[in-house]
Amino acid sequence: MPARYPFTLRAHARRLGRPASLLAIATLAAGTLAACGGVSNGGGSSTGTASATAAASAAPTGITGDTLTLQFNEPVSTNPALEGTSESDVVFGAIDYDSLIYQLGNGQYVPDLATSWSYAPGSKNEVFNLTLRQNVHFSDGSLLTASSVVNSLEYFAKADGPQAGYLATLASAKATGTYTVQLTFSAPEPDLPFLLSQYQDIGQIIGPTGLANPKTLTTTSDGTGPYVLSAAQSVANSQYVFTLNSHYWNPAAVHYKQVVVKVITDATTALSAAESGQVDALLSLPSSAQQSAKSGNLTTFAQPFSIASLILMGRSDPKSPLSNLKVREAINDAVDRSALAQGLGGGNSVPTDEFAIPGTTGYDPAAASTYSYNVATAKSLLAQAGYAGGFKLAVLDTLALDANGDIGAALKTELAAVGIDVTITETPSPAQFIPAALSKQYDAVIWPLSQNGAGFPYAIQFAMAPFTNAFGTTSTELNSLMATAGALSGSAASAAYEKVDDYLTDNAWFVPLFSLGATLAVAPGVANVQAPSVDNTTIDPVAPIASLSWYPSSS
Amino acid sequence: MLRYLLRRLLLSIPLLFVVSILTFIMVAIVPGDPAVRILGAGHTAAQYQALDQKLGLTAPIGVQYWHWVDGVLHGTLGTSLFTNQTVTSELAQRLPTTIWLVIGATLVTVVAGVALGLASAVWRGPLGRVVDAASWITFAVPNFWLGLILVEFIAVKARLLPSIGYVPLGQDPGGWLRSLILPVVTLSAVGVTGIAKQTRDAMAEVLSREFIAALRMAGLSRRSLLLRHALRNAAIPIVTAAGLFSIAMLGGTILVEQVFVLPGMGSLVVQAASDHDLPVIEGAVLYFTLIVIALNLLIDLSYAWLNPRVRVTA
Repeated sequence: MPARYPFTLRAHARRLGRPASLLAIATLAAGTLAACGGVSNGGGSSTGTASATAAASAAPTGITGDTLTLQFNEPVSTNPALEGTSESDVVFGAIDYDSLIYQLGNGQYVPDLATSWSYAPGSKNEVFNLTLRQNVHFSDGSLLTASSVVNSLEYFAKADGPQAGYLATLASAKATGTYTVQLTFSAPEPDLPFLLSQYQDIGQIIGPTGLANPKTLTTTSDGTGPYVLSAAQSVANSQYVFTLNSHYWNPAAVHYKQVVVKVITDATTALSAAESGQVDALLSLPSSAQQSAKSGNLTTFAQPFSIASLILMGRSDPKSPLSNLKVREAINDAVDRSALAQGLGGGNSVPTDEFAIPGTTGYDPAAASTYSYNVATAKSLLAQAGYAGGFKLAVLDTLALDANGDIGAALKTELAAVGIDVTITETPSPAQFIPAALSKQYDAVIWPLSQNGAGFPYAIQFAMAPFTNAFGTTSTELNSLMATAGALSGSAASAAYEKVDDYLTDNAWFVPLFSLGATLAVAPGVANVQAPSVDNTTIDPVAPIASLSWYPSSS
Repeated sequence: MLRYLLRRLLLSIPLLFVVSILTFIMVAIVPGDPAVRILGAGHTAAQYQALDQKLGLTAPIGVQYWHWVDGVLHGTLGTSLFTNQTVTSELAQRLPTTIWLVIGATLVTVVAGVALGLASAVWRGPLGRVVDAASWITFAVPNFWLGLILVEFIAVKARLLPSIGYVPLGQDPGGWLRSLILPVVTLSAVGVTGIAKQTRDAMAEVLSREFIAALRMAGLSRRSLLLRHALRNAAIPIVTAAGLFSIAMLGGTILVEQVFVLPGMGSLVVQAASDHDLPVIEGAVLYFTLIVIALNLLIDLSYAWLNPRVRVTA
């Protein structure tokens, strides 16, 4: 059975190493405000209603444009059950598959295929009930019912795709009525609204024709979304053309006749395509191209995303100096996060020594200064641990995430100042990095933390994946703290996750360095693009609500 | 002649085997695991290995190769590890773009190159020096860089032609032509000046022969002398060079298709190689090899057409 909470390598590889723009600071602040205002982004939301509010009132209803052309990297698959996670789902999944729940850019959840949802009272987040929208049809013409949802979820569980792990604890999926579904899990699943949103795949419901012959889902689609993947006009890994779904339940929310996704991996080529009017939005833009995008009359957007970090895997290896807490604390004190953020984050990143990104569930402002840059303190801690003369530290890095090995080189210099002799092994991509990390030959790896806008359990799983926890660290206390938090909701859950954040910070399993943002650029012809204020969400060109979908600025 | 062709075709079979074996070995020794890309990062080594096993990637390389050969002999090239589409259908989607690109670039290379070379041979002087200089420059300039320059000035600044994408001929002939102009110019730049220089040199050599002087004294028109007699005699080295440039252009499509985001074989190979998608790599290499073999045969046939003595000896 696959592990839970996998993520898309390409998406992440693209995003890390990309400093946030000034807009990221603004959106970061907005995210903080949203969190303070009680908006849940996965950690504690437990119920939803049909009271979605329009974000923009001037949006047109119905089609006003011909083609919306987007740039992105190639998908893992166009079959939602074999697709990755995060933005790749939005670009290649949400265009043709409606999800059960829709997450707004501020983290709130609003109805999509499900009009309401809630955890069963007293179920400790283990039983989840959904009521479905009526009179919704798949692109094959068949009616969406509770059985469709059950069949789709069961297919996801057995398809063995990257997201099958999300359903590892699903004990049963039952149609309790024609339009009501009950999901029962064997353990608390506090993040179901997020997992069933457009940012993951399992909530994207596949129709009966697609389920009967899943191979067809790699060339066409069978969802309830506004568009259908056109097999005739698409070329795998080059261009994906989505044409109108004549059965779509809310035509008012559809503003373009078709959506085209062009696979362009080179930033210069992508910028030229946008500047020459052939692409309307670049959904993957490296930081180095931001200035070019702005001078090319494109508007850039940014949002918080992840934390550049050194993960101390040797904490559970008795032979490693990292098994000593004082050594791990010393390393945390030996790095100048502000300088790193300014130098490597492009000056727009925020230095942090915590597991959670500021503004997200679990972030504890009180723990923000647990570690401060102090070489003398670091040396003293190393001496107390019996390493006054320093030691050798083998670190694994990947150039796909650490452009030019800059983070690795900076850490090597900073740790040398306290006597730690770092040897960096660079791998070109995660495909080489992961097997090497699993080999247990490295005490530490340079790899990002977080994505905890998706929920704290997601972030924990992200940080404790087998290849970032090669020596198999386990903690009864951590498990207990997580179990307690997982069974709570709202502010009680947030407070409980802060304790988890404190535990991880105090035990120094990681060396968080600075936050990073993700960006995109949009041509002047597109209106209604709204930057998300929480991490792990992607700017979404289509939506089940007319006021949220992009539309031509001339309309 | 037919026997000659059959012999050439039979000789190409071992060549195909050698190329496919070398490709298999090269892909095997390059680090990378398709399972990591398919499953994502949050899995154990055992889970990656299980998927590798399911995909047949844990078998000895000889066994994997035999499975592939068995598939080829049964008319299938396997299935892509990532798109789950058959390799033949993926290649069928990509082949027309590359074929049109290479045909277009070859036509431009031959027509423009021969015209420039002829003019240079006839008028000599400054034009000859210009051809020389241009050929050195185009040999030195990487075609992807030239492509980027063309995109910046022709597509982005002037907005005269599209910077990316391919329009199928059947969908919109005008759009098809527009989508191919910049890639064809980029791909053919080296060939045009190369053929021009080759034509100029070959023509100069032929024009200095005695039979040309005799024909000139017999009162043949300048046009007839140049095109019917001199050019035909100078054609074999020109055709050889054009054939070699066409084969080189096939390799050039890999970069040009990346620059102009064309859904062709070149971009497919790049993607498949980075993904370790062995069935697609093998299929694409097989197609490329077949195209090269076909081009070589065409060159040989053109020799026979241009020089009757070749027909006799063949």
